[in-house]
Amino acid sequence: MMNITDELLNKYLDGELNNQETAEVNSALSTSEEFRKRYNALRLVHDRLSKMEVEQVSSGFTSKLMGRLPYRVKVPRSQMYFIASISFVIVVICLGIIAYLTSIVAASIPEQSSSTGALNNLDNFIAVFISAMEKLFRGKNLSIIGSVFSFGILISGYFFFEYQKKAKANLSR
Amino acid sequence: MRNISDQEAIESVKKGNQADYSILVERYKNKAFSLLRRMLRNKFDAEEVLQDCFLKAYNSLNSFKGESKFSTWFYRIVYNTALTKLSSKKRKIETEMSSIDEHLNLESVYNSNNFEKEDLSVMINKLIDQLPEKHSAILNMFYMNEMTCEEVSEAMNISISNVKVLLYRSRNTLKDLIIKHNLTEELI
Repeated sequence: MMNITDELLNKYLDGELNNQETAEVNSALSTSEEFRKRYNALRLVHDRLSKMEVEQVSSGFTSKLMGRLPYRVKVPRSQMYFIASISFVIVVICLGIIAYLTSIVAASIPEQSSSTGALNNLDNFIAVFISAMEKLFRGKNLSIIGSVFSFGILISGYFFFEYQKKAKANLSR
Repeated sequence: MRNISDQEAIESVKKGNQADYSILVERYKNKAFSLLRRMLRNKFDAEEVLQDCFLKAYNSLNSFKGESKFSTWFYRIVYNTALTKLSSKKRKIETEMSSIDEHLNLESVYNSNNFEKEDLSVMINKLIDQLPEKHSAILNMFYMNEMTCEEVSEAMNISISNVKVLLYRSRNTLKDLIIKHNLTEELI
């Protein structure tokens, strides 16, 4: 017969013994009064511990804690996509303008190899660049570019305002 | 309180819905308070440390990847913060497997309080209060929070076998006391 230790009793209580060990403990339980007493006391402790009462924190704990939480700054993913797409459109427009001006300047400057030629090239470059800028931002073109930028700013402003409203609503929920 | 899972509440808080953190607070505050009250043996300290624990958990929420349950992760914070508080108060913290003279302590509590027979449940509670911090923490997590030995070992950062040894020791201490004073029949 196996030695019935307290460790074995605990494992029996937790259902951690194999079939053979369980049978041995069952047999000991039915034959030994002393062993039954030990097991009953242990089971009693287990039952009482299972019924331990949960203690309560003072009222107002949660509201006090929530008031101490630091504000969590988190940009929603949809807002990040929106900012990225607006930035992309602005960058494309700027690159288009730069490419347009560069092509005009490159086409207008004749090639010269001497050092005085290089100086002339710089003068020519500046003159052509200024005239191309004037041409681009004059009359009808200026209205179109201005309208595109204004439209972009209006759309951005609208969505930005909407996101602010959402964030405020979340905070006060 | 909205009926959403811990994970859903955490995701919501991470998205910026700060108010949803109160769901987690309401869910765990009393059980964590019970654990702290038993470890620190002082209601005021327990509540103060509990506030710190919830703040720590909130600030570290981004590092919670959901690999374990939120409760296990949170009780680890609670347990470690309680140990820090105890050490700052220069209280004795026993080493993991040190031998303890539980019988002596518990015996003195039993005798000094002159418990009435009808207050035996109260007596058990008072005896648990006298166990070393680590033992009472294990009993709390295992019984009150219904955590498995694996979860307790993760929360306390000790091996599963050590959790079982400490759990068995705590039960045996109480069992021996009950036998010694012939309380089995009275309690049943």
